[in-house]
Amino acid sequence: MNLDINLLPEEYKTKPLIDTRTLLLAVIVVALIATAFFLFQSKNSIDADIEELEKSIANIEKQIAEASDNPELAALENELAAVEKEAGYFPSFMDSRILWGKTIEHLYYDLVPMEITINGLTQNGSTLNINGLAPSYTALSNFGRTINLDPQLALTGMPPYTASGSFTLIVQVLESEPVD
Amino acid sequence: MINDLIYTLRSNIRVTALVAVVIALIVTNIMLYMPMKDASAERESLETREAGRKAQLEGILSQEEKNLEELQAEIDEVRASIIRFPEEFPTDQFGIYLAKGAETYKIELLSIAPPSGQVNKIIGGKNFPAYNTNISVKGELHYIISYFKYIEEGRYSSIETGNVRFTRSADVWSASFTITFVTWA
Repeated sequence: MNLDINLLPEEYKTKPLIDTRTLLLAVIVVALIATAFFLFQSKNSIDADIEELEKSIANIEKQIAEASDNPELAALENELAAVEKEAGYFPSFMDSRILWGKTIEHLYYDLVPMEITINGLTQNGSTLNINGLAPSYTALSNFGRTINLDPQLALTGMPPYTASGSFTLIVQVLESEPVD
Repeated sequence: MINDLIYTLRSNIRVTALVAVVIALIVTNIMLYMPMKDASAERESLETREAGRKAQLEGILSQEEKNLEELQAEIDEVRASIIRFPEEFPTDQFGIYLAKGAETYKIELLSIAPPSGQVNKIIGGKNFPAYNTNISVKGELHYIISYFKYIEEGRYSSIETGNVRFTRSADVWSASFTITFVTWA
């Protein structure tokens, strides 16, 4: 059995080139340097990403603003308004005209009492002047009331009457044709 | 005791230096990690915001496309429903139409004044070319009224009557009126 006994004082003993503690610390230092490098690179990369994202968001927001103010949509809305206006001319004309044939037929055959004689009808705008003869003012008043009760017609003022029985009624036509 | 520590440090100068470097590096790493963590959170927030904006934009574009399609469809529908006045006044056919009506309703056409020159009829704020024709007729009242209805509610819907005057002489009625024929042109 061999015994390895070194009797040299500590100062003269051969020391290892690097001890375990130093080696461990050196490894930690390297690891920390690597970590620092990684963190630095990551921060730079994240900053670049942030810059890119901010640009992208600004671009999208610009597109949103442009999309909200779409000229094509505005042009179509204008076109629709123009077409709707054009479509309204004919119905507007039809609604505005008075069908005098139907109106006079209704007045003469539905509203004039037997004792009243009509001698003439003259249209002026939307009014109709009715000339005729009535046997009494009572008969004429009743005729006037009948006209007023009709939803299409309205008597303008009191029925004027003369002793000879002649009268002229001014009737306003409220609807384009008789109302059922 | 401090002397002992100083002695220990001096005798382990390499280890001491390395420990100092390690401490410095740890501090550096912490200083690098903190802003990186903040930047990472900011990036995450911006990514969420970007995704939201993208979705918003896609929604707007999709809605706009839909709106455009709906608007176009509505325009086509309204356009298809437009009823127009005739492009021109059908002089010959209209004259024949009036004469036929007079025969049908047994009334006497006293006069038909030829259409006036073009006049303007304002409808909905727009001027439309129109033509006036003055007519006088004679006959029984119910026939004259039927003739009116034939004109007003007959084949030509772009017509209105005006200046209507009915007068009675015994049992015979006379009527005069103006027909306004509206055209589109």
